[in-house]
Amino acid sequence: MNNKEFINELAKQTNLTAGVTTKLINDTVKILEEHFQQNDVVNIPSFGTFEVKKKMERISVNPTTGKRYLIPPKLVLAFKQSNMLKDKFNAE
Amino acid sequence: MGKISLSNIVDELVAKSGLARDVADNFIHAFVETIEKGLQEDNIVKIKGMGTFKLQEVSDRGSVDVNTGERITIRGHRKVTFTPDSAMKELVNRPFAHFEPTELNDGYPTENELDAVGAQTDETDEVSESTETTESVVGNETETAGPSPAIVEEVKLIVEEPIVEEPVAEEPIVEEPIVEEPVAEEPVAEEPVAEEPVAEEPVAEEPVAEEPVAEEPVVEEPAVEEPAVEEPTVEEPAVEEPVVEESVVEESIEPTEPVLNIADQPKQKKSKGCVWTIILILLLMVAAAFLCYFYFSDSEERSFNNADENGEMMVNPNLEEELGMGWDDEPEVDTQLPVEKKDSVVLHSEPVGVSSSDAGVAEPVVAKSSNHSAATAQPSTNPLFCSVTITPSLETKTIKDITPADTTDYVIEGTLVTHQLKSGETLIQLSTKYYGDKRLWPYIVKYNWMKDYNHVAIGQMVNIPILKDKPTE
Repeated sequence: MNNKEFINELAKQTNLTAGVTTKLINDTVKILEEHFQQNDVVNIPSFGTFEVKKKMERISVNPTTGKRYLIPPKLVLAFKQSNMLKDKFNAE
Repeated sequence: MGKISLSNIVDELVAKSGLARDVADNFIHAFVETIEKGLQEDNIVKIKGMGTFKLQEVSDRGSVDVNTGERITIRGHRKVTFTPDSAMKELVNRPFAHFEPTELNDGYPTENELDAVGAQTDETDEVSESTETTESVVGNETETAGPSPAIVEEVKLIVEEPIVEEPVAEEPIVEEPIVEEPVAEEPVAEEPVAEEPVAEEPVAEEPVAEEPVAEEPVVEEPAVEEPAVEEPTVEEPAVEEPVVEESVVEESIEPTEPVLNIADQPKQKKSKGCVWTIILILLLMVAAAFLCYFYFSDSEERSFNNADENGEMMVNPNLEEELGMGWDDEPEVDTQLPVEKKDSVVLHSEPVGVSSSDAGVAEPVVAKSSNHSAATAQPSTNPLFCSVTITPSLETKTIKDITPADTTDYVIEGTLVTHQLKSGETLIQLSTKYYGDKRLWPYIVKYNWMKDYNHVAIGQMVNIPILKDKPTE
């Protein structure tokens, strides 16, 4: 299901036009982004949690050249599914 | 940094889009449900600006129950994963965006460098091996170069047996001091001061007691020899190839004894004063070396000599016999020198040496006795006399561990033994067994026409050649 299909499906469920749905989706994503930028943990019940995690710096070796690199720390967005979602997909 | 629930997002959505709250709440719930639905249908949902949700299969895996320690299997299941969109990723990572991977130069060698070092060491090993092989090649060359002059000289030997035979017995003896001296000289440098006279007397006395005419050669021979002997001691440590060096030294020594003395006489006379001092110094060193060795190995040597006299077979029949007989002379000379005059010593020592060497027992005795009785014809007496006088002085230096090998070139004369190679045997071992010196293996190779002497087969028959000293011109 790509972005277009997702918009159509969501529009059908909410009885909204595709254009309005697209705008609402963008707004929602923007809101989430803002929270992520503030390192907020976004918990969606029955679905999962979005969390920004900090990966520490590390030393990496290029296997072909043998050179060593210092990889800087970085922030990544991680998603952890909730148990309800897990059970939903593993019910059968 | 707080925890945001779905209701917070709904509130913000209401504020942002101006929708009614229930519509916004409915929309957000529909948003989540649509993702779940899409996952269930296609296992993948892409939302622009947000990322990709995927439903992935996780296979069974074994684990251990933490509490009971039992082995359990965690059943495979499906799990929702989320990969943020690149735009989202950059947005999240903005605080650390200015960091970039930097190459480290912290002094630790990388694996490649370590490999390179290993390769280098390997190369050096190869180089050393190649040098070894070249050395052996050099040895072979000298060896192969030898025979032709040797044949010419053997003819001479037949004519002048008394003269030649003695050098045969002497040469190994003369050569060994070359090996000994560098070791023994310096540490014992002080001892000889007290004991010089003992060693000096035989040489000094003899000429005086004998004919004044004969003195010069006697005096000069050591001069000729010992400078030649000394040089190698200086060179050897620097050059690392003792085998090659020593062979060179031998050649220089051998000719001087029997032949060159006569020719050298005039030259030596001129620089007699210098020569005398040099001789004295060298004698001191020689005496030191001898005394050191003599005292250390006195007992062993005696037993060795006794064994030889009793006719016990030595490992190397030819060469060591001669050597052994040479040693037999030593004690006699030592004891007699102080008491008797030179002539008697000469007479005494010579026949012993000659009779010991298997060939031509009668001739040399006759020749020498005639020489002695005459004692007038200088050219004939000189080489003889010189060689004889040298023998005691040099013999005294040579002690037990005389190996026939290292310093001489040898002539192959027939087969000593045919040896069948057993498992684990090497040519070096054979050389050590039959000649007492591991360095003589090239002669075995040469005698057997071995092409690949690094790989010999078990059960291969190897002819062990008889080696005789190769007299040089």
